Amino acid sequence: MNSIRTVIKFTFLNRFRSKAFFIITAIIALVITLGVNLPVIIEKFSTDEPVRVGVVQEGLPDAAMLSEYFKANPGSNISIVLFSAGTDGQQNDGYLQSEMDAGKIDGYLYYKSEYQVVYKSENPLELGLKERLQAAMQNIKLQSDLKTLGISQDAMTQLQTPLILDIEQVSDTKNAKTESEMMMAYVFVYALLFLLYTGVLGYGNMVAMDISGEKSSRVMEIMISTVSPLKQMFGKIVGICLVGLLQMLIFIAVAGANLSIPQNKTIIQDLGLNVSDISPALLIYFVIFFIGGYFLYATLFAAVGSLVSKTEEVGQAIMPITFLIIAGFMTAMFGLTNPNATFIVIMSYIPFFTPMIMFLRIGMATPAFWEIAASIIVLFLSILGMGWLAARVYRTGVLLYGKRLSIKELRHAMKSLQVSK
Amino acid sequence: MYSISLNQITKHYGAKTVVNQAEINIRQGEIFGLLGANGAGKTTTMRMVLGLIAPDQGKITWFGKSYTDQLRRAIGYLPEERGLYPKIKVSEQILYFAELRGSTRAQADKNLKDWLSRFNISEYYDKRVEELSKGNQQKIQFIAAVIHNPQLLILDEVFSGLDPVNVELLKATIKDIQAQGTTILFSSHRMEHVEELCENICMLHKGNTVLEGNLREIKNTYPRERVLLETDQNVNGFESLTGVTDVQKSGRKYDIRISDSRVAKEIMALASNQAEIFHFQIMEPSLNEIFISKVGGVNE
Repeated sequence: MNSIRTVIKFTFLNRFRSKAFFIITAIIALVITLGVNLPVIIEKFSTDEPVRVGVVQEGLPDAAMLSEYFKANPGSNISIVLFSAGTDGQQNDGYLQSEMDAGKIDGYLYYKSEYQVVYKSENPLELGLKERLQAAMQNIKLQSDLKTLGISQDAMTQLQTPLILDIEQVSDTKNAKTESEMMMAYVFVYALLFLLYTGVLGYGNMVAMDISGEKSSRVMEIMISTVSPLKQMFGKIVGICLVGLLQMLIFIAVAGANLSIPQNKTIIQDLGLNVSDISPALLIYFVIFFIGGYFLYATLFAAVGSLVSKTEEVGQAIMPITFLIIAGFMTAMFGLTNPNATFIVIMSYIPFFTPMIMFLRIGMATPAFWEIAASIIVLFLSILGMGWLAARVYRTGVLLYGKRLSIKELRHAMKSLQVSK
Repeated sequence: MYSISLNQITKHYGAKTVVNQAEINIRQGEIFGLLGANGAGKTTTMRMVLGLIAPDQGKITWFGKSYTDQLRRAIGYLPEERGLYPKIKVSEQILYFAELRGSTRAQADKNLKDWLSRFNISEYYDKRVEELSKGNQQKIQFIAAVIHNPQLLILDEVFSGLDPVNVELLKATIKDIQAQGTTILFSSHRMEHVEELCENICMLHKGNTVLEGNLREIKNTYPRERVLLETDQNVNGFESLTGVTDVQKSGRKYDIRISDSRVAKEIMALASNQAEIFHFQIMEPSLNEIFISKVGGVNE
């Protein structure tokens, strides 16, 4: 019988052809495009001109050195504008203030006390400006202090030679990850976790809405007399899953296309990331865990949706499932930095959390293959179990209208409303 | 062989008995009336006939066999609570239902167009259901039940919400479908519809069968207690005849209640002495009256 195919097709096409699908997909694609291009856009819009910092030549010791320092480091994006001293400090302050008002400088530095410098500016502090100024002044202070202490130039160079620290992950398996790989894995796993979370939540919601919608419009009466509840439920779940996969594919394609624009490519390289460090196995695991997670939660959503007579009540009814997904996501966020913590390892075997947490472990740590296999087997067995239970609740739920049921009442109804075989 | 046979069917919901030892046999090609007030057990009985729920006791057979999944394709159902997808085009959802019940898309599309033109609503093929009036939604709902040419058609309160013109249209349609050999299980509150369409009936009251069998025979077992009379002049003295219990007069029309059908002759004699008789009829009890006498309550 191909009635399940008919249900899948109908569910898929109705979602796919709806205006809502088109609008939401377009909006999210636009957001992704913006997000990916944001660094380039910011760069385009931010003035290439350095921040002009006014300094009174005599007001700050080593003002000339500071000016030299920034000239030697154009990357820090600061230029020092030197002014001649007036009669007293207060007057200098006022003078620089008036220069700033005239738009000749963006801000100015002056000594408050011996070890306290103040930077005054009308603009909100540009990101990292304080750090850059401080680093420069600290550096100059150190050099002048060392000079005062009589340290030779060679010794000074030696003192300032930085130590290089490289991070390399070691594990019992051979596939240790380099820093770039780990960085890339972090970004990638984070992005995919987010997709997994929003996908399972969003499409699961859709399943519940669709089913309770059929119930509230009473199409359900015709549907259950036309096709078996089991086929109807799984047809719907699969149909929406296909819509979800299609949408995800569109998003991933949009993100990929944007990332391959030359300007964006250089930015990724500037960040020390290398796209080729993404392991293709991770993508395969993503698909497995997305489908597994979706099916596990979708059967739950379907069961709950079948018990609700009005679509307005769906949000409230699915709250517990929503919390379960949020809990999984939060744990995964924590696990990103602690993938080997004991409770993360334990939670990766609990089927409701497996999709996110085992996926995270695969991405960020190196679980043994048997661990991955075991968690996937547990996950798919749970899907079968949940599917069986949900189908029983479903075929009872779709016949019941009116008040919300307690679990006891539901069990009673499940017994008395048994569908003939 | 019966199309549907319910043999001593009992169904409980918890401690409540919803259907008690129902015995219904429906021959192929007949229109069978299932009657009862609200809460009498009609919907539960229909759901059992649809195979949605199983009886606790007793046995149901469809065309002589037990339930199989294939039966869904042989059954058409018009539920009391109307339900269509509000935001989906008429054609799309009707074809969906037809496909689910095993029709090919092309055949179903042809059927749908025939049905729409028969109901004079061809222009709704591409409209969304929510754009249609209640009455037209009802017609679409009816088409959804018959699009796959079912062998067994279950109609729950099919006429509710329709204007008189459309009631007549639908009645004629139902008779046509029956003439093609389809078995129809029909439920209604409106006894005049049942009287007009059904040959056999089953009347339920609080889950119990209070009347079952051939409508004609059932009626014959009830005494004829009503005389309708129309004359050219006023006639007096009906009240004084023994056996007359009530006289209602409107213009020169009389509606006389009697306790014994033999009194009818005396009424005739009395009337013909005083005036010319245009119309004289000894009424058989209406199903409505039988229903009220059996169920006791108000016919809702």
